[in-house]
Amino acid sequence: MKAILKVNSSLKTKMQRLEQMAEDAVKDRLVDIAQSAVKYSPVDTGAYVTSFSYSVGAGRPRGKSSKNRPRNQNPNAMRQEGLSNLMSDVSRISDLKNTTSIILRNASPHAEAVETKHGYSVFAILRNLYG
Amino acid sequence: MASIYNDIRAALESHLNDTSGLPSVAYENVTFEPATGTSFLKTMFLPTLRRPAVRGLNPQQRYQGVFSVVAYTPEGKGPKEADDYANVLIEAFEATTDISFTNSDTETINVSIDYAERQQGLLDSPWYYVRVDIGWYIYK
Repeated sequence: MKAILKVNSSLKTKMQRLEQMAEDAVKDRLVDIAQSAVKYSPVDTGAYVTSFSYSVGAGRPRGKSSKNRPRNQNPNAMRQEGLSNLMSDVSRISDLKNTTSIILRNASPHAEAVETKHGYSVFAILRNLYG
Repeated sequence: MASIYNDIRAALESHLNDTSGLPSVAYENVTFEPATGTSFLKTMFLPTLRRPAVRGLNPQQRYQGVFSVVAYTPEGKGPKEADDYANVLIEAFEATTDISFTNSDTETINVSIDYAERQQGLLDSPWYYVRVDIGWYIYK
């Protein structure tokens, strides 16, 4: 006994569109998180705000030291640079729909001081908004 | 009403103050000189969101944010003391806890705890510290 079930050819197309929509939603979420990360970051030398990375596995994260860098940098320009870094990371994730975890990291040496000692709490805020 | 933030802060800080087994607290913008070798807590009140909870005119608002408490203990004496404080904080602000507070206008609010999570212990000489982030929300 057997039953042959014919799949409507448009179903496959619809599934592909659903997959694309899901991938776009994930991308939008990553963009939102990136925008918030740079928005809540303090800017002096710009080392912290330009040290965010998205990563999906091994790889060296961005991590700039503020040592010997000029102070009082333009906050908007530095935030834009930080956002561009993260957007470039998102565009490099080749198989987003099969990616199970993406890590947002700030590897500047003073990242922990920014978070707690200086009280900016960037990651605490991001976890509260998107966690 | 803008003063809701004053009430939320007061609710969280009162609850912290009423919790036993913790050292003295350095509240925001209050002069506090920590004595080297003596543990203390430091608080930060971080409102993150204020959004209408429903459509229509004069909607109820959802407020949310983070109440961070950092436990500082003397460096070089191991992590136990800071870990113990973190445990007390997590228990006192466990998820689903409702914290009630009545302000000077006899208006009572209930702040709900969404989560309480600790971070890794770190050194900031002469202190070793553990941070606990407490997520809160309220509809008002």
